[in-house]
Amino acid sequence: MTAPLFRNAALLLACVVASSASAHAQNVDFYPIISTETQLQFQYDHIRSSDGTTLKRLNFNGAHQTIVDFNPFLSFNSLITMEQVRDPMPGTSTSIFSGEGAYAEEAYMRWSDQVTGVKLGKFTQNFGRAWYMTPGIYGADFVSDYQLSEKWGAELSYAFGLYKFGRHQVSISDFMADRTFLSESLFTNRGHLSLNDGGPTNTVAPNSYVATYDATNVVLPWGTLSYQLSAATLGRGEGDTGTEQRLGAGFNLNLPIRNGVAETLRGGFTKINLMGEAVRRWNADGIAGRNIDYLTGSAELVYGPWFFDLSATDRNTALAGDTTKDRLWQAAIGYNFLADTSLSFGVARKDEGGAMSTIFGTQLTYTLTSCDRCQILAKKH
Amino acid sequence: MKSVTSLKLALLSLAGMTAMTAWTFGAQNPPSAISEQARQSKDDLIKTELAELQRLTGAKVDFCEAPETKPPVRHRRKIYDLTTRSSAQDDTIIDRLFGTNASPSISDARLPLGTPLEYRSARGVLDVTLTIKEDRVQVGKYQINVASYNGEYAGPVLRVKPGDLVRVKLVNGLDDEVTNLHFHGLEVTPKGSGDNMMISVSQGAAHQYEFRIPATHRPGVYWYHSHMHLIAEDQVFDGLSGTLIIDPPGGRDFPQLREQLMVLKNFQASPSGESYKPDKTYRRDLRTINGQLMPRIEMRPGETQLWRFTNQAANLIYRITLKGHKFRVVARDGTPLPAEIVTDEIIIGSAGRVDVLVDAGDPGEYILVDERTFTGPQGNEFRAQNIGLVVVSGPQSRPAPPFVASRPSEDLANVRIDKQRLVVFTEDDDARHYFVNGRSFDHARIDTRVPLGNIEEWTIRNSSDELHVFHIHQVTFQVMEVNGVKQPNEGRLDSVIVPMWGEVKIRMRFDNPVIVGQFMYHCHILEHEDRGMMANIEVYDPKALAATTSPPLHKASMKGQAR
Repeated sequence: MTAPLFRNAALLLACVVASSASAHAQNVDFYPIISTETQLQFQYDHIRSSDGTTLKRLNFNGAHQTIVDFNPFLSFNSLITMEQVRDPMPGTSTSIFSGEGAYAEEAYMRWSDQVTGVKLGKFTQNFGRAWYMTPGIYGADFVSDYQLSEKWGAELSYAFGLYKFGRHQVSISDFMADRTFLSESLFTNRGHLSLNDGGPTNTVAPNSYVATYDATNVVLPWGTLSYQLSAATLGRGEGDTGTEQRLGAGFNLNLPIRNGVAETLRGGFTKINLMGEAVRRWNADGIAGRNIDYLTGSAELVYGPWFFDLSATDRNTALAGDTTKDRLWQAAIGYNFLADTSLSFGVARKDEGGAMSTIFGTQLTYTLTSCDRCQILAKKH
Repeated sequence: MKSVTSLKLALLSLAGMTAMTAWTFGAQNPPSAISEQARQSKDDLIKTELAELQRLTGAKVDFCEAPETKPPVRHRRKIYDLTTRSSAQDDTIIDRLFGTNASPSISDARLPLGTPLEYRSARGVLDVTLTIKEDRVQVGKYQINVASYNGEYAGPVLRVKPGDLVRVKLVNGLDDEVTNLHFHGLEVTPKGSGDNMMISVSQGAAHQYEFRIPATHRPGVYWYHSHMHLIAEDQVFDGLSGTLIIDPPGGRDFPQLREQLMVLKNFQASPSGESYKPDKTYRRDLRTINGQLMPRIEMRPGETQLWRFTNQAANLIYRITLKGHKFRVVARDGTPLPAEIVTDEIIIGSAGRVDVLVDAGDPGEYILVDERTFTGPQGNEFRAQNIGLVVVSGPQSRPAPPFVASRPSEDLANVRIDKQRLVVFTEDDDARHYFVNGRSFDHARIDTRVPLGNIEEWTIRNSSDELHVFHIHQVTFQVMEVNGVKQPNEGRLDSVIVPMWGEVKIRMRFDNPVIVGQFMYHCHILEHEDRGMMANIEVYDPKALAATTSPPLHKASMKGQAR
């Protein structure tokens, strides 16, 4: 199957690479500019299930982002992620750094003049936001189901209404699952994805599509609103009995409570972030008739370096007349030290497939900006 | 293996397509020659642009060429290099992670506050050469590598009077960087050899800035600094800034009081002295006054001194307190307040200047502190630091009476408004790109055009999770509202901190003919400016436009949509 969007995006990217090489001559000598940032995170979870079992788990999560700007428009972006890629065996009571693997989550070229944008490579698709915006240690546990990560593809985006009434953008993307060597992982190998593994987007050609409308920074009398509407159709993988289709709608509202300059400088800045998102998946996971609805809501209070998070997600799965209702709620409290280190404590209650579990956990995150717009070559005129 | 081959093939085809497209659309040269040609034509392109600018404006615009013999290209020294950290005595792992040794103590306050090197105008002319040197200087117990003008890390003070002719020859002695000068806060011409941001001075080259300060210019404290887009933060952080003072025609402000200039800068240095760009955390950030760590400021009991702060740090917002004392703020950004404001702390935004009167208390020692500050969830936290020690001793003096401005600034509350505009500061999700009205800076695009004579009201909106500092060249403004709350007339500013998720409403006059030309407005947290939070403005004279048949400057250079 041909994939015109993919092909056209590649051509467009090639054109803009060529044209932007000669643009902005005054700034050319400053490039390439390299930025790297590393996030190190330790997370301890104490999970008590209703069947009496307990799991104590200490994990390390890492993320290393590299961005190489070749000129003001063109950049290469990569994200190496390390996390637990293999779950502990059933019955395990203690898991310390087990099943950890590192893999390339993103590797793509991006061209953008802030109005039109093109992405080409392996990247996370722009569908839904709750999987990265839901606050708290466990807030995104259910909604990460619908994160479309590790897809090879092309995305075109166009922004309009740039500022007066917020920034509005439409984007379309054509993609497929990563079956290259990048689907494997180091340390603990999660295995090489193959066509035989099946599943939506795991297709020969890029025949999965997402279309998304994003609005950000829409100023309202009481705060600032962002929202997203998104639709997707995911190509059938081997053995799939249905084509998964999705619709999603979400918003977040920024409500400043105390935002005077002096208050902010003294550490008293206060705001509330409200977020909500609803997603419907038809033929979820390529299973005909299996429909899943997600409804997520969260509230975060930010007070200077402190943050307090509450979130809840309902996940209802319907298949052949049966409905399974899963519930998740969680709360967390945390503190940011010197803007690069945060420590948070959380509690979550999960009702998943009729099994209840309670999780207590703590998370320590350190972010190191090891290279902030480093310029490798000397600048000469 | 198959996957690796597929990836290689994909990359090769992309590279091939790129090269092929460049060849097809670009020129008749083979792909390998494209970049070489672009590089060779760069200087010619700039020359052509500047010649066109000169033709249109009639002003002399220099292109400063470097000597033919250029030293070999070197890697930049400011790459953040983790390997340069050694286990020096005062640089433990704990220090590196938590910065525990940063704040000086009273025992570090050994030297009296010095005054930076000063150049004064004579017979109506200030004629000075500023030579940039990369140097190693001693700051407290630290030896750091800095870049400075004439070897003065705090920056030489240029002292002039209204009506003076300013001739500053800038000699770029940097190893590997272009640079330029911006005369911050001055309402002088942005054209030709004036406060012209189109000028860049190559490594090894020199450029003479020459402009006249209008005879009606407000006396006060200003400053000058590198404004080289993309590396302004680096260069200012390295030390490339200095103070410029316009004294009143008859002498100086508060002639009866002792004046203390206080140039605020900061640095971070590895144990080997390499200054490194401020990383996100500022863990080892050290703040200086006049290039000194924890200087002693001598006062007599009851004595009133005039302290003239200039925030010349690249990114910091200061919050200064002096235990047991209050500050009497008398001027901001070079403009006297209608009447003094008494406060416990002074907030000095990036690029801000504040003149305060300080009445010394009882004999004793008092620590001058830059308090802990937060600039927002997406911003920074700066730890508190002792920055000076005030030592009060000797015979009793009498404090100066309360200050009232003899000629308060005009109140723009009731003037006609010709145009209202909105300026929105935003960032992308990972705070890598910064925008003004949805766009990053493009030197070739005019973002705002203003006819000479306009009085305008601008709303500056901060739609981000960190503070920004709005600054406009060549013009001062009155703050009318902050977050919808009306503000009293406290004089004119050229920079203002914009609250997170909030707004500042300002009014300004574009009626001084000397400012006709192209200049900039931007966030003066230089990290943000370098990342694109800057825009071009052109003030044009409608009468001059009507009288000429030549195409106006804005049409020659305008790429984007003028608003």
